[in-house]
Amino acid sequence: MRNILAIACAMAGFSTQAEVTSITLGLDVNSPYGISEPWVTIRDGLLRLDYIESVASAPDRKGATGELRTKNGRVPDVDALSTAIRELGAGATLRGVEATIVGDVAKQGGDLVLKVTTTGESLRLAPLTKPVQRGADVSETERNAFVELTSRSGRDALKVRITGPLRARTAPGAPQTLEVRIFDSPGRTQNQTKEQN
Amino acid sequence: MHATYSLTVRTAVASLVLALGLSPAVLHSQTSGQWSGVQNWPIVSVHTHLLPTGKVMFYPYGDDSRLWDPANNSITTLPRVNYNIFCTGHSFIGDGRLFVTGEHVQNGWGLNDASYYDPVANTWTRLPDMNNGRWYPSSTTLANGDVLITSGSYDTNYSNNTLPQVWQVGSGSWRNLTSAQLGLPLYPRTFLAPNGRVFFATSTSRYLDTAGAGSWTTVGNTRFGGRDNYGSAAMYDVGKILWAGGGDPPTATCEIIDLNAGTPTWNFTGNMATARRQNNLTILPDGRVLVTGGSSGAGFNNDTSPAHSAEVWNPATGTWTTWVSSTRYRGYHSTALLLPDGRVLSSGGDGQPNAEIFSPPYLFNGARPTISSSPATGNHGQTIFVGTPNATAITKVTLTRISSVTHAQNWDQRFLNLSFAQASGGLNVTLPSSANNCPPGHYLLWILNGSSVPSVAPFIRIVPGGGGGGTGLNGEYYDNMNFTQRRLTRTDATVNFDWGSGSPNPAIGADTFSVRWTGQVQPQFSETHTFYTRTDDGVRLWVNGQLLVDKWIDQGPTEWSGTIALTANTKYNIQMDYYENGGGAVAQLSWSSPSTPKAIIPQSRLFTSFSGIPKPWTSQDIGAVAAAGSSSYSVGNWTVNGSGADIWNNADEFRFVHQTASGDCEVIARVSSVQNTDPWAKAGVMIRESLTAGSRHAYMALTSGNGLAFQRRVATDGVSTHTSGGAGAAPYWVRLTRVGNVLTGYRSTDGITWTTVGSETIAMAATTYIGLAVTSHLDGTINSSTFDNVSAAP
Repeated sequence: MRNILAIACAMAGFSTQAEVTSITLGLDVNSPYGISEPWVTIRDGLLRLDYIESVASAPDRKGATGELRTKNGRVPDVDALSTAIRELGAGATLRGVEATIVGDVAKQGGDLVLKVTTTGESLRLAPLTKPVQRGADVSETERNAFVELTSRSGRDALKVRITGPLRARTAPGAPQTLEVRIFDSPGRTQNQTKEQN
Repeated sequence: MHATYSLTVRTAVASLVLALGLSPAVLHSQTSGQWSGVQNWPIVSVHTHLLPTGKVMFYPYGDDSRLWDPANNSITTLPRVNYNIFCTGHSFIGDGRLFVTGEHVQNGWGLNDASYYDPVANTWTRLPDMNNGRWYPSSTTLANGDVLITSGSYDTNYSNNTLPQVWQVGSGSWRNLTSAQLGLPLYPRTFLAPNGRVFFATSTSRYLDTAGAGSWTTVGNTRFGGRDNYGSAAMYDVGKILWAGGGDPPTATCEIIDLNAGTPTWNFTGNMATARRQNNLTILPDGRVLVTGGSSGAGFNNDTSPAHSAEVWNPATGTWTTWVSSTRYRGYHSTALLLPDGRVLSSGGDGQPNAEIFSPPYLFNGARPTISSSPATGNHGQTIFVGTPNATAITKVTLTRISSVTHAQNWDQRFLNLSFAQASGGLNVTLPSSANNCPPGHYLLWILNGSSVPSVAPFIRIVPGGGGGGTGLNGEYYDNMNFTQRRLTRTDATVNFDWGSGSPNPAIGADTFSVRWTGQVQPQFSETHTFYTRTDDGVRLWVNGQLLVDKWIDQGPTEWSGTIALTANTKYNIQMDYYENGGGAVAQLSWSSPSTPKAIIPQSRLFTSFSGIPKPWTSQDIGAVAAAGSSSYSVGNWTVNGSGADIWNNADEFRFVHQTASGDCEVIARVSSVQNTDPWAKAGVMIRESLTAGSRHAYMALTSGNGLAFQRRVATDGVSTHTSGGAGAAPYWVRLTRVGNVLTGYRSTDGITWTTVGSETIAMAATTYIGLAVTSHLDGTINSSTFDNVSAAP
């Protein structure tokens, strides 16, 4: 619910410039008390990474997630982030990353690609497999989001905002993959009409 | 080759064993210690405290405190507090009561309760509530005996209680540090630091200044980020902290930080042989640090990889030595603490309602020294007598604060080396001078022989103040080397500074600064005392007006000394002038006497009162004044009381505060007030050839009603001349310079931009007197005028 509201509010200021507007980390922790107990240590450690701009002061205990923002809208490298979190020694491992990214969608070869214009990075788009939030149900709308986005994409770039799990590269040099859970583009709100979580 | 060598060694050891009549087991204990058998306890000791009674209080989940008496190995039940004290914070206050904060509702959800447990009366007392709940709070006893409470969570979302609070023992009330609200790890490792602030050994380490509404200063990051995750930390020496293990997977690495350094930084020290988390650190009587328990396996509380071995860290070498292993897994919810007999109690842990006791190797290395008498209480800086028949064999005297332990952290323990001297039938031992280093409360007093074998320790309660009752010296800090650009005044508890390459204060540069400490010193004994300065760079020291050290030179940290006979409980003026030119900056002031072991002069023997004026200044009346003048000084502020008809014509009458100068010289002051005993009453700076009434001189003065004036007498007993400096009223800066025989007077409103008032060639002798001059222009009436920012370059 909170995620949806945040996105809906942010849509009012929809930017056509590609950027990462928020990142949600799904974390598994060793503490029997859940993510909240080691969160301050995790937060302190994340803030030491030079590409992290801010980290939420409190995590979402139920979903075992925590929010952060990167500097200059940078797309985090999932593998590097996973390593950094493990090396914090806080007893936390990265279960997954969900990102909300604004960019240009285009078909490239057989793939649907999101072009991040600020960094030149391309993200391969894919259907949602599993949400990062622990215990989250997947709605019909979310399940079909990628198919719908594909159907709306043509030869011309389509500016969209996409929220979904960011998956690590499958091979060195390969792009990271952004699974499409929610998307929107100027004048379109259909994919936000159903609440998740 | 190896087999032959090994066989040879074994044969030699066996021969030695036979020769000494020692069994291999005894020899092993001498090098590696020994664990007792496991004794079953009725409950798990999650929270364990060494009480000032010598007994050990412990409690688990719930409200079920027990008392273990090491003397007869009995366990009794203690009164209930009537709420769940699991996962509370705790530390001892100065009178030996245990201060307990929080109440467990469920994981993450603590309530706002606070209580005292009185170990003598064996009673609990409820106290006013905290601002909000705290589950896993930290408790830190401060220098004044109050207690800082931080962190803890108050709901099932583990929301952090971000408001630090100080429990004010005297008033029985809470003080909120509203400007210092900050989310912190649960159970942060906290230590009262030598600077009086509280150091948070967290992955991002910080100081919390508890003064006023509180403020934070970031110190730096640990090298290993996960140490918050159930590593254990201990202040093993004054301002020096060891943080061992922690993290997941657990680390064998350890870090140290020296808070005495100008820029404290975490650095790795030697690794433990075994990686651990949920481990406990215990400081031993000899200053080494023992680690026991913990798990070396990944996961929160991995009992499949128990760290059974005891290891000891030597601060002198930074290395760990492995000692013998315990039997039981001491992981999450285990504790360890030092007992008064020198053994270490290791107890508890989830599923472990039992205890083991470790006897370190020093208990197998010959007869122990004994203490036949010692005082039950002592004051900071006091020299106490400790009776022992083994005085000549004693090489070390130490204090360890009693323990209050939970969740892999001992919140109270700290270690202090004491200075001492042999005396008839015992030792004269000087207690720590600073309450920052030795917060009030109960400590174990150890004497150790040359084999590092400790005595059984009596308890001693350190009581604030007392002794001489002093508060320290006035410290005036200047941003140059000649005491003219004062930026800071404060009371320094002691003179014991090592600023490294840093600065005493942000307002002062790291190099080319000076400090003047003034006040009085009160000895405890009627004896000849030796005063020691250790400085980098220059220093001068006066005691009772006698110059004991005069080394106004650039130098590395160097000790100089001088002696003076003093009478017990008499206060003597003391003044230490110091400058730092470049590089490291050190300033320390110590003393010794036949009954006073050499030590930093303690706060309790230093006072801010100061009679007269600082050296090398002297003060006298010039000419035939009808009322005797005087002068005084207080933290950079001068008062000159002068009578006299005038400084004018062929002979002068005034009060002169002066020092000698040779050749070219300069004197500057800000006249902060001129009493209006007459419109021509004068206060200013003077360069004078002699102390006779008709001496040649130049004088740059501010009058009470006629502005500024540059006056001079070019011939002995000759007439005086005057050049007006225009209008002006106090406060106003005046300055005189001598270059060759040219004397020039200046005025300034800010001490920065100077305007020449007049200049005169006066054929003065090479040696002159320079300083402050005041005349009332109404002989027989005292004019009391004041100055500050006084400097002389003689």
